[in-house]
Amino acid sequence: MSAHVLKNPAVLAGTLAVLAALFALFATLLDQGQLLTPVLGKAAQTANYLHEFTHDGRHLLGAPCH
Amino acid sequence: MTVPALLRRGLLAGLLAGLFAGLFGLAAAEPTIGAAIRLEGEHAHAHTAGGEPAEQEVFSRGVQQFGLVVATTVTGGSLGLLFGLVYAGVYARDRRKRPWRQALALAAAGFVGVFLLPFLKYPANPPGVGDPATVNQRTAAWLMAIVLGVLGVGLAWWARRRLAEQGRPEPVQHLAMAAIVVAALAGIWLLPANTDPIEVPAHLLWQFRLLSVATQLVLWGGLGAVFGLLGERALRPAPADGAA
Repeated sequence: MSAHVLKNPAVLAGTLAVLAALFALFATLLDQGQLLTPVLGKAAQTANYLHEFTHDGRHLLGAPCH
Repeated sequence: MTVPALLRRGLLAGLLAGLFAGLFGLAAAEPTIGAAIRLEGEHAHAHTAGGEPAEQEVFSRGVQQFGLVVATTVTGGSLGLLFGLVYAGVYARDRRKRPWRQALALAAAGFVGVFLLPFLKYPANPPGVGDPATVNQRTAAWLMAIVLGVLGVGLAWWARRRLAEQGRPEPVQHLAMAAIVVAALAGIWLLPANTDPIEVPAHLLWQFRLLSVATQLVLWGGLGAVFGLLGERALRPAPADGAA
């Protein structure tokens, strides 16, 4: 059923947009090293690159921070 | 108006609005953030004198300030995509109203539901506030507050439309909206309180929170305005009813 629905361009575009948006929001506002762990291993958790890079933005946009 | 076209419009409006918000944050809020970080450093230093070395920085302050603009731009673009999709669901069939008005109304709803209602329970904190041990729990509560906020605003929107269709007078429509938003706020209030101690001076905290609200106003205001302008522009070449 879902494969059939996804052939509708509006539904497909909407689904992709939601997935892209949620992924980007997670990366900029919530990630605590999870996204880079598959690439960098334990270093991603300790250095927390995405968090540190977006640190000021997270605080200012109201996301919980360390 | 097709869904992919509205998504493109949302993405463009969101990226621009996020960039505006980031530049505003850079100009207006960075001094406050910098002051909070300096206090945090002094505080940490006083506590770890002779003990473990102070937390080492992964990125310099300059890189983090650039990261602020990147973060708001990416956030804006993401919110813009979702905005375009919601707009498609709520308005694409309703051609009686102008895109400018529709976009501003939806942006105001987004500001209240996504940001303002959760902010009333979990206001933004400057650097130096927040216990790393509670960050997951605080994040979960914050996300739950956003869900309740969006749900409340969405329900209020839907109720107003239903009541209008039934021919109820405007005061009834608006009071029903207010009641639903207050109920959502009451739900948010029942979420667990943030118990982390706040040790930054009150004036700095107040200033930071005001700047956080202002940044979100720039973000949502910019999103609604740019999206609305793009919609008005799209209407110009062909008359409203002739467009796809």
